[in-house]
Amino acid sequence: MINWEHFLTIITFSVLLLFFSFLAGLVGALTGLGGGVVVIPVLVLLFHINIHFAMGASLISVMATSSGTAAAYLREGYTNLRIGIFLETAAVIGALIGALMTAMLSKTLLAILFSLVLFFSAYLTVKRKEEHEEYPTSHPWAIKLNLNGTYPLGKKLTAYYVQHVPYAMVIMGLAGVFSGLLGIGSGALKVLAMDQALRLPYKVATTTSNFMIGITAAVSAGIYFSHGYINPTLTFPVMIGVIAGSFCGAKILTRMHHRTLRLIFSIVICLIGLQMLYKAITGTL
Amino acid sequence: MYSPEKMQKTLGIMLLIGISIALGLVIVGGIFYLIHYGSDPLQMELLQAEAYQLSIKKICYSAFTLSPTGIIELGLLILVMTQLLRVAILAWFYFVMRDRWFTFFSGFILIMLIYSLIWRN
Repeated sequence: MINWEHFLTIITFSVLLLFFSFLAGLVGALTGLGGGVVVIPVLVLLFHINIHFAMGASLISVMATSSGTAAAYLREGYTNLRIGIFLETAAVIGALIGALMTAMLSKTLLAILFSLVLFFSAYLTVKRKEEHEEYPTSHPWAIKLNLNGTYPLGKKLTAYYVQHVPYAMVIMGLAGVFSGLLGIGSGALKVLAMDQALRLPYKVATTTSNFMIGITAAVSAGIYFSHGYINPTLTFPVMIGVIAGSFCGAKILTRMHHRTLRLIFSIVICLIGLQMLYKAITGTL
Repeated sequence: MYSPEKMQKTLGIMLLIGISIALGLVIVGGIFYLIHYGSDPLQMELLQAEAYQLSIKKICYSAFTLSPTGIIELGLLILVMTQLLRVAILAWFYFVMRDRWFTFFSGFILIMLIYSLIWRN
């Protein structure tokens, strides 16, 4: 096989990477998953770059998407900061438990389990018809912690009532355990916890997830920097492209119907699930 | 008087400032890098290598020497710090608003962030 990337100059490579990163930022902003979903496969499969550098670039792309969209989503009034902080706390505790349990669990089994969870989440996400749901009250914990909020629907602000808080905490704790063990972003489970357990409007779930993923990524940043996984010459086109893409994504999201967003999300998490399953079967975790 | 709306607005502005500085540095460093090395063939050996040792101290030092990669690294570091800043701002707001639970939650995340950034370096 000819390794075509050997014929590239640095500038051509950087421009190509800029283009793919723009797409990554766009997808990341719309799904609440961060840009890593696109960045890692492009770097590893297309350009044959070392997985560690790809993971480093992915981490930067997640923080870039999160920061690029946060200001816009906060201004528009979609992000629910209280839910974000509350669930992030559960995720951090889960990640700590996950890090402690590394030696006790089989990674292959976990990866298979996680991919099945992703396929099931894709199904649940598409299935939910939020416009047909009505909740007159919220979970008592949501009232105590003041988690309810409003979001822009059409031209007016609409109130939503948060349900099943303990379920969401369990899912977020598991998300933390998974990311602590498998080292992958738990963005998919974050959106799932908010969409399926808390029964939030979909745009509130994805934008709040976008706010949280930057914080989660920053927790791993120290170790990535010190291990040398963050290569500046590789990362600079990624960061520029992802921020540009996420700015555009944030503009588009407000105008998109939640059903379209649900469909995009489901396709993307099915692809992550397949990637995970492939890694588990080939033993490349 | 502090209000959730004010908090949201301040946070949005701070994030925008942080990301603009980080992005500006990365663009400047990137352009310098491309002017110097843009026409060179891509060195796959380097991108497939394992080691690229780095520390926060090293990043600050190489940024002051105005090397293209040093400037990019400083931009990336500021991007990481922006994440820390957003939790710090939230913790401060909740503290001022006397919201005990949320001061605790955001304080806990902040401590974990600082711990993981400093301890691992």
